[in-house]
Amino acid sequence: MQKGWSIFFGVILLATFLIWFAAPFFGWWLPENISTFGGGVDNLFYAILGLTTFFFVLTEVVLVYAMWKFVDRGGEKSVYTHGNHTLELVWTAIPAALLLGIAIAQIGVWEKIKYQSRMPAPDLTVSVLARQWEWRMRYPLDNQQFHYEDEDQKAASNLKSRLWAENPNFDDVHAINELHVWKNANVKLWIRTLDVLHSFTLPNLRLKQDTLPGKTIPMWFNAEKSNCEFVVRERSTGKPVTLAFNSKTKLVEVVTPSGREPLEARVADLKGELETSGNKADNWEIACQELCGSRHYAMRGRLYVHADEKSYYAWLQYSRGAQKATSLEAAVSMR
Amino acid sequence: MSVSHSHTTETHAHPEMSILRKYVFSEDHKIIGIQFLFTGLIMLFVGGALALLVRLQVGWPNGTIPIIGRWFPASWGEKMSPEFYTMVFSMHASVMIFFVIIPWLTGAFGNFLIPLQIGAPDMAFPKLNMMSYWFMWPALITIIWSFFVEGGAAGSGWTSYPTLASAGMPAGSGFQSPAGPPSGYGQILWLVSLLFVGISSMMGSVNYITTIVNMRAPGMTFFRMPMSIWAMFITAILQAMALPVLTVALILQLLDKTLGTTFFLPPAGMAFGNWHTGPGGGQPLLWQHLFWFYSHPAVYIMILPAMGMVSDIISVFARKPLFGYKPMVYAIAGIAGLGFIVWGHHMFQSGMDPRLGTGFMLATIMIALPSAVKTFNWLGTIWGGNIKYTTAMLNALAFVAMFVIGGLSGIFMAATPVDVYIHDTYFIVAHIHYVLFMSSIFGIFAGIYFWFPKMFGRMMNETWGKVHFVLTFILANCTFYPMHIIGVGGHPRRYYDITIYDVFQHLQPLNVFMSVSAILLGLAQFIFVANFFYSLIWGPRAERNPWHSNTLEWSAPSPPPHGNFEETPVVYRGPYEYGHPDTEQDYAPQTDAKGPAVVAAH
Amino acid sequence: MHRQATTLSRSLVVAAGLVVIFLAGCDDSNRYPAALRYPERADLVLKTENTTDYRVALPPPGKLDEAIREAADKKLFQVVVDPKDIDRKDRAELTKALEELFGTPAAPSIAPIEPTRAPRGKREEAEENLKLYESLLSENLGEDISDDDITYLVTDSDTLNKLTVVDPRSTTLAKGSELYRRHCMHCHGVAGDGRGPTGAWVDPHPRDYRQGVFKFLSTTKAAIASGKPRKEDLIRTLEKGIDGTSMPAFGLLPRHELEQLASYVIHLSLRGEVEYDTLMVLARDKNQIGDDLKKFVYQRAIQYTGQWARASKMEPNRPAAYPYSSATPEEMHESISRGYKLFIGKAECLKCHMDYGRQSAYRYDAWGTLVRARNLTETNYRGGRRPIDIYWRISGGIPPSGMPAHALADQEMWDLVNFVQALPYPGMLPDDVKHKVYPSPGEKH
Ligand SMILES: [Cu+2]
Ligand SMILES: [Cu+2]
Repeated sequence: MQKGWSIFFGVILLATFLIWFAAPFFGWWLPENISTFGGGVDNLFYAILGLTTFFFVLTEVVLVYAMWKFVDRGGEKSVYTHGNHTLELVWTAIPAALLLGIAIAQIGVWEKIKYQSRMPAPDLTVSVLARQWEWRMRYPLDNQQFHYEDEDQKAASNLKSRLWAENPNFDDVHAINELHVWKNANVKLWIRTLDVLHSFTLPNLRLKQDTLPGKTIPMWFNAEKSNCEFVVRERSTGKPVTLAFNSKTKLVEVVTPSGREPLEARVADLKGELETSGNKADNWEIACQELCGSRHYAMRGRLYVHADEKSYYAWLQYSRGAQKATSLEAAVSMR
Repeated sequence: MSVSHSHTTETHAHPEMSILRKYVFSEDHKIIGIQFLFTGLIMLFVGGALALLVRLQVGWPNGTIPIIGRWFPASWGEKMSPEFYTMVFSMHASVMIFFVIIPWLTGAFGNFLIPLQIGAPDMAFPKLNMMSYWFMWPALITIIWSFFVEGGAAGSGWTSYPTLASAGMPAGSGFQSPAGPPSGYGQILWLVSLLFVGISSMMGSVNYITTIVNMRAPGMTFFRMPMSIWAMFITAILQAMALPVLTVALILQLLDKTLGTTFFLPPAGMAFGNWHTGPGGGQPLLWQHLFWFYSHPAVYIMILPAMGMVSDIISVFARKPLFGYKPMVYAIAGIAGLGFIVWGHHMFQSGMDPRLGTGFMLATIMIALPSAVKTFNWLGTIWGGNIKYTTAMLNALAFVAMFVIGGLSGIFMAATPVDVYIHDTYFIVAHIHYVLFMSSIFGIFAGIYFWFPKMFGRMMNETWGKVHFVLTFILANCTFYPMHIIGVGGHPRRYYDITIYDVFQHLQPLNVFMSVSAILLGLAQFIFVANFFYSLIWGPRAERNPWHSNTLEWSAPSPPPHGNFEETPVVYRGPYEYGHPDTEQDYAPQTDAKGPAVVAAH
Repeated sequence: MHRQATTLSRSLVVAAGLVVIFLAGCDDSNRYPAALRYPERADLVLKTENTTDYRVALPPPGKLDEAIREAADKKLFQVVVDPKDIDRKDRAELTKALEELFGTPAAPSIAPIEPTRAPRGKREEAEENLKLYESLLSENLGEDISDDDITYLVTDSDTLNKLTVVDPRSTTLAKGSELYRRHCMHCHGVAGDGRGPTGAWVDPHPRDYRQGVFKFLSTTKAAIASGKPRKEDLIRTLEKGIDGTSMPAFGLLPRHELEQLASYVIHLSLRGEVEYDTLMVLARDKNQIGDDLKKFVYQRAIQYTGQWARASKMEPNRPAAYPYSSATPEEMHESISRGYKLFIGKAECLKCHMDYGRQSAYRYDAWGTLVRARNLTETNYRGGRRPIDIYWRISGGIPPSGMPAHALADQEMWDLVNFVQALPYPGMLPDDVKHKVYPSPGEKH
């Protein structure tokens, strides 16, 4: 009867152990990782999960076994001991070595994600302004201005792009709650807030950074998978148009029989649409994860990773055109 | 060396005390301890009710809340409003931490056990001790009052981060906050209330340290003190060193909110629509440093005493000396020491220099070590024992089993890159509840079942105690364990409704499961309350030493009279001499001059 | 032991029963409770003429109705009706008529329920209501409005099931009500009164729909006398949010959900405006109603439905062709300079946008709350940042908040738009204009 208690403990602890194996089958697991450094985060997660599972099983098995074996045996006395020096040394030294190993193993990944000095030269810079309760993104028309080739230009370029993030430019493209990038691009974000703390979190990128009032904080990532493409169609016929992309000037042009015209100027008679897979798992969302007031939970944004640079610039220049709408026709360009 | 004199006879000199002096404004450490116990019990139900409101909202975010929904203001449409929800979870945590766990562990058990276990007639400063309890009342009144002020009680989380918590209108234009309804009067009262709690705790700490250092009975050397006393001692030191920092932070935020100072307001100020705070000259991050400099040690304040009590209880019911007494003491000291240099691990994603993060990470990872040592030593204690499964022992063993989970899950968030992902998700919520609910509360239950006979001179009902234990153990795991899983799924904490997110909505069934479990868990606690009050009045009378325990409190009558001991106890050995091969009985009270040869604890 | 056991077990069984009942009541349907009714209007019913500037500060957070009452006591509004002063009997009759027409939050509509769908005991009454409604239709709706026009108001592209005027309890409105409850109710309130739990705690306060007026329209008051927005205008506001206010952008919701929301907002606005109007008349000119309050309410409901349908049928205000599509930088500078002169001169913008809006004074808007002319040196534009948005703001004005409509020549309009667009970016302004707008320290304005 008394031994029943060890079984009771054993069953509950076993259930907590098994739930880790059951959860992935129900989809209750890490969402798909799409960033270059996310793999490092996941590996570390699995390493720690393995290590902690090992110690969990070890200690709980010993506990349950001892509860079974050493139940009150009537008149018998227990083993009289005050401890064991060797044992103490062993169970201090081994965890210490393992913990130190984990500690050192993670430094590299952390540096890669967060250290400013390690951030790569950006292919794309975005300014993100958080406020109660939305994310306001701003995109420069010209990304080349913040790019640099060698380390000497890095500081100057960084300063230039931070100043841009703090002071809007006339040509910037504005979008609310939508973060557009393209696949394999090194993206640099400058995040700021107008009011309280927020936290720019993208679970699929394994990325998170709080915003701090009064500060402009850099983040970076590189997405390895895309989830959308920007397609431009003739408004009247619905036929896709051919776009030409100049990878030097980043200019997207519409190819017509009579010649080429900048996409930006043609929004009135073209209809641009983001085509996504429609698969829910490909909806990569931005969530605010630092309490920011009553509608904290509603600061939802979305990450659009375009298939290529051309698609991104088509979206950017089309949006720029829509933002310059001066006619009724252009006013209905973006849905 | 420790003192003890004819103090006992002196206290017997005034037996004619009014009821008021004896039970209300009492200077007797036992009464004060019991007062803390009852206050904590009442607040446990306040905090628990708030927890259930949180679970109702999270479990059924778009539903109509039955019965309760009708009580909400008409403009809410019978649905909990988002600001009410932020208020509810903020106050749940604040009440549980500052009005349940800390008063129970240090206030109730610290007060009751310290003089009894070191063989002193009372605390060093009985008046101060009484004041420490009565300073809880302004705190209680302010915090309860805050629910009824304009905008409701504080709603910026128990961490009250500026600028959400601290934002105010420019000086002179009212105390309402543009950041949200609960950041106004409610936040001010929260700050005031915590200041009172701090004063109360500080008075307690000073008293505990002085009493332990100066008032040990003859023969009670430091290394003959039970683990409970060691834990209370180190906790008191932690509290005395960390509290001033919290107090400063609270005062600074209070000044920001009332006098219009700008300690936490950035130079440009903040815009909330048309409202503007006016310019500032401070830094929001400062609060986080000050707050966590206290609140990380506070996490240990909320578990070390439970560890100490559990060590004692396990040794008693395993009928076996505590395994590795000195390593256990050093482990507690180690946790406390390291505890002061790891606060930054709460701020990895805060915008603090990431290089600082690396340093805090190293210290944090190493703090797992003393915790591991403690666990292994508890296992060593029951190994080869003669385990008696009393309710107290079951709760103590549950503490060990659950502390393993709470401790191990901490390693995930100590690892900076993993923390990037799980920070502010339910994984953190799971972790804190495994440490504070599953560990501290089981430790407290163990302590109550164990010392109830000494406190009230009656025994609690074992059968109902075990029913309560079984239900609590199962339901608490059902309530909190799945939080790890949804945390891995990325479920953010403090969310009113996750179902608007495509990435999170598939986790909702687990939320429903946890909410149902939580409601049942809450109800199971009524068994405990019923057992507690029934036993208080009708329980069988307790003998002096019902558990055959060694420590000094069991050599006093149950309950001990004013002044505790009939005559000053003299201590001959350490507290854990169980199952000595040379004696007939399997225990040897510390005061027993005859018992087995005096063994020095290692 | 025994006593304890029985007492404990008994209370445990009762408690467990209560939990089962409680949990059974927990549903996650998103719907309003079926028994919930729209609340009767309790706040002051106002009419304001926003002509005067006040050098006052904004009231502190949470003081929406208190501040309105205070201003009303100071006689700052033209007409103030306290719903408390209305005869209880009339009030009850109004509430009943409103419910017949507009249903409940869980089952919203814009016309009386079809008798076949009414609950058994209420069929006859429903038949009478419908008969009354139909008899008033032709006279009050207007010849130009067809069934389809009204159907458009209360349907979305996803639920394009054909509905008739007499069956307007469309699924669209019901779905809109669920979405509204989830996304909007916290601020805009159950009745669309802008007085949800969060409403008083954000400034600008959330829009109160119950006067049937809105700020950001693509039409002009000259074209649509009622000043109602097109349904598309509401959808655009939902989609893009309102920069600089707490109105978030809901662009991530699918198109048909935005349409459902807009339809539900129209429903709330209709209901609110009928209530607003009837209360006004009851308090000030009761004779106009005669002895049939119900008929009056029905008439008004039909008239306002017609206004909404008419507005949504309307083509947006079509601007003249933009003359600067291929302008050189120099030509652009010239246009901006001309716009600047218009701004400080003929168009009289500076009168309200003092110091380009940096020091605008407060005035009361149609809802009795304080607003001020936009600070145009900041980079956000509440009604949208596209040139055509700014064109619509200038040409149509923002009547409820006192921004007048401007009739300027085609090119002048675009010059002014160009200037307003360049205004927040000193680098975009010609040097002389820049010195005027952004004087360096020490320079006088
Ligand atoms: Cu946020
Ligand atoms: Cu900590």
